[in-house]
Amino acid sequence: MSRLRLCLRLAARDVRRRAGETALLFTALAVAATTLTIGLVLHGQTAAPYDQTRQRTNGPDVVAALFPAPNQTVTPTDRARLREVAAHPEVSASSRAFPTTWTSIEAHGISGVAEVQGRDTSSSPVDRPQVVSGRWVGRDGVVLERAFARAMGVSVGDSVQLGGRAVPVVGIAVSAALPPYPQLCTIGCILDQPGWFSAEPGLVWATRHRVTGLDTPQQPLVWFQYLALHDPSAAPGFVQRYDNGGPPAGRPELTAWQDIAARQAEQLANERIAVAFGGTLLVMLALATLVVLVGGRMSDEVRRVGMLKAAGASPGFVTGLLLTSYLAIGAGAAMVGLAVGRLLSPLLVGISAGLLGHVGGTSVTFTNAAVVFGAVLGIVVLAAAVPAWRAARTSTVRALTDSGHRPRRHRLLVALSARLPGPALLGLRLTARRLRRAALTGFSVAVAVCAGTVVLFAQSSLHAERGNAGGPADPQVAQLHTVTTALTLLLAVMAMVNLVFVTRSTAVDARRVLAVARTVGVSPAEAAVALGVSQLVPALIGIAAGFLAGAALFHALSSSHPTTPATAQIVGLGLLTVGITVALTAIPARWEARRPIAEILREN
Amino acid sequence: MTAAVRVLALAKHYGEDEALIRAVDDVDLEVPAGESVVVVGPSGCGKSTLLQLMGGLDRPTSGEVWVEGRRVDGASERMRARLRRDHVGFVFQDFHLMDELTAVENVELPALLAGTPSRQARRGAIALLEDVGMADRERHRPAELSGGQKQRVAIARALVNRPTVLLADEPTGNLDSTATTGILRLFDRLRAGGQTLIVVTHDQRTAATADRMVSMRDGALVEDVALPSTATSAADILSVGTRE
Repeated sequence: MSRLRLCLRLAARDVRRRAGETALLFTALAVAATTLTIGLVLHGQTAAPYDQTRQRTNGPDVVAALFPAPNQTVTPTDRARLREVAAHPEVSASSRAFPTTWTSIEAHGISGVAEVQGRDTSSSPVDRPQVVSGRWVGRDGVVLERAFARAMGVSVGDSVQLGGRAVPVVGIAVSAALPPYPQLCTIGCILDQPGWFSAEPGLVWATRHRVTGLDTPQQPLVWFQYLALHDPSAAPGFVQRYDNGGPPAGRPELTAWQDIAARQAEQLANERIAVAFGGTLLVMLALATLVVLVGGRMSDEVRRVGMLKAAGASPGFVTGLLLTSYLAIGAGAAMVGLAVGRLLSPLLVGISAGLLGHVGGTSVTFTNAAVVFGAVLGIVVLAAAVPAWRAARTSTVRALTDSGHRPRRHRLLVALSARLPGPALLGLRLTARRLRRAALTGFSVAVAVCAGTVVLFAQSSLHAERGNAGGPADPQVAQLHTVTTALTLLLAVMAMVNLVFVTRSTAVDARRVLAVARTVGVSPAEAAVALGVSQLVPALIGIAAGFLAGAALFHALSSSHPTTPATAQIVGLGLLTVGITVALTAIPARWEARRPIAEILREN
Repeated sequence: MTAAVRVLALAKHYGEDEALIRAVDDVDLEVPAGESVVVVGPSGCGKSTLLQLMGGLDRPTSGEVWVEGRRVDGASERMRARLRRDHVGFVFQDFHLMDELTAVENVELPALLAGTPSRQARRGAIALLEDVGMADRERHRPAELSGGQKQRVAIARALVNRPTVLLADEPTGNLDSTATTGILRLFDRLRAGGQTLIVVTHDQRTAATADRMVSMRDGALVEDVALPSTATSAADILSVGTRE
């Protein structure tokens, strides 16, 4: 028991002794845990909002749509086929068959395409869209689906040009019968008008009378009927059995509610990809931070191990001590990460306005928590394993005199730098002394710039799409933009934490070299510039690599033709990164340069 | 004649009140150009601190430091950096060579930092390494050199910008007898060549090779004596040692 108490006391003192390092390590792990939590919350949550909407609007189990043959219209005889499906024994209830067509819509200077359903003014047994603002359709106006209304910037009381005629908007509603804007068309649309090819229609509810007045030879009426089954889970089987009869040829096309749910989930799937992408980068950065941290304090750690062993501590005790310190930091960071992730996920993982309910911040389950704890603790155990392993196999005397890795010699670089001005010469040689550390600086910067570049490309492409089409905004893209921006901020914070770590380690490592350089006439300002150059070289490489990687990544992920951001934006991103790197380097550089040379040489 | 180095009422204190340590306490000293001075005294008497203050490596608590007729104790760091680059060379007990650079690269470094073209710096460094008897080791790295060899490289580095004053802090402190003799021979040659030398040591053999010996105790100068004709005494002392 006393050994355990001693172990805990020593671990607590070690954490206090290196409060700054501990805080940075804690931050790195907490950010990684936060991202992991958001990723886990999002995973498997895609169905929740749709299910809630379906329940609250009495959503259909099967959607039957009767499309006319080319250049023809749906006749009353054809519509009898819809009634046949509705009369099937597995069907428990159905709506009335209603006409639908597609027409132009314009409001506040935004033009789009509307899928207009001709509905009864009374409530339907299947699919009762929930009016969230205003009232249900009447002879005097139309109702817009919420996601579409937001994209068009329309609210109750506004007037829209529907098929060239001004119509007041009397309500905004939500339904689970069709996927919300902009995925409405995945069930089927007739968009034969010029310029409509790439249009994403939104849903508008109107009276039957208004819809029948909108049809044209190019946009004939399509008839829909919503069905409820005795066993909703059997909907895919029902659809499959019906479709076995071959191509429609005058038969209604059926879609199961599970397919509609899957279409709706695509939006969250995109966000999930973004979170997975950002999360992977964040975890990589967290690992890089750990490598820098562990590498930076390795010789100190091994010397401490030597002292403990000299005082009689067994390798087992030393291992336990190292693990206790790291595990305490890891556990704390995991808890903070879980809490922050739980708070952030509802903000990042916004659901479509076309659905009710929420993804919720309450979905951090026990399993999620266990995964986050397991991952973070796994990382810190790995970090503690290296010094623990060295502690176990290094003799006490060697451990006490351990001075870390000797800097490497790079002959070509030494020769080339001899032609440079003093600060550049020193800076380049400082970079070359610790190439792995320089690589980590470059990597951290590259990851942050890569994410920043993706956001710039996304913004430019979104801007270009809106500008060209003058159409409604795509809420998916906007939401994705929010997620990527938030992730970029997290990545930037993490990259800065890394830079602080690396710069500090470099400053400590370069202390003696720069002090000796000062004894032969290098001024403190030149010494500070040299340290800056040593960070700037890998940072510049990181900026270039990050931009290229970001551009390539966006090209690979983007389904449409990406728009290159303005040169000013790209240069701005680069300059911002350089500015942050210089600022973060200037602090330890100035601090070291102000110290008397004699004091530094005495310490080293 | 202008003194190469002059200090007046120089003091360096650490701590305060009861914990006050007077590392250097009211020291006056003048070293004419071309003179070789050794500063001796027991460990902790303030010898190294005095040397660091004279070379601008540390700031005094009070007093004045003049080098080549310029007052440097209150000078900016930039001015003091220029002083170290143009007028003062340093030799340390533990060499402070760059591990990743070869001997010749270590020697040429101050010249490069002073803006000397790289070829000229290299030529100067090679010439100096020949002077200190290290021509055959110019491509060796510090880890491949003995203590005495490292100190020769360090002395060559200190001389590469042709300083007026060479300050050496226990230059033989980490060396064996043979290596010490080699370094003393080198200093003797420098002295004979008119180089101003201020050497901190507690090695009696090193002390005996100078023109003048200054003794310190508890931060203060307690003795300042001219030594007998160094031309003979140095030769006598150096003949005792064996060639490195």
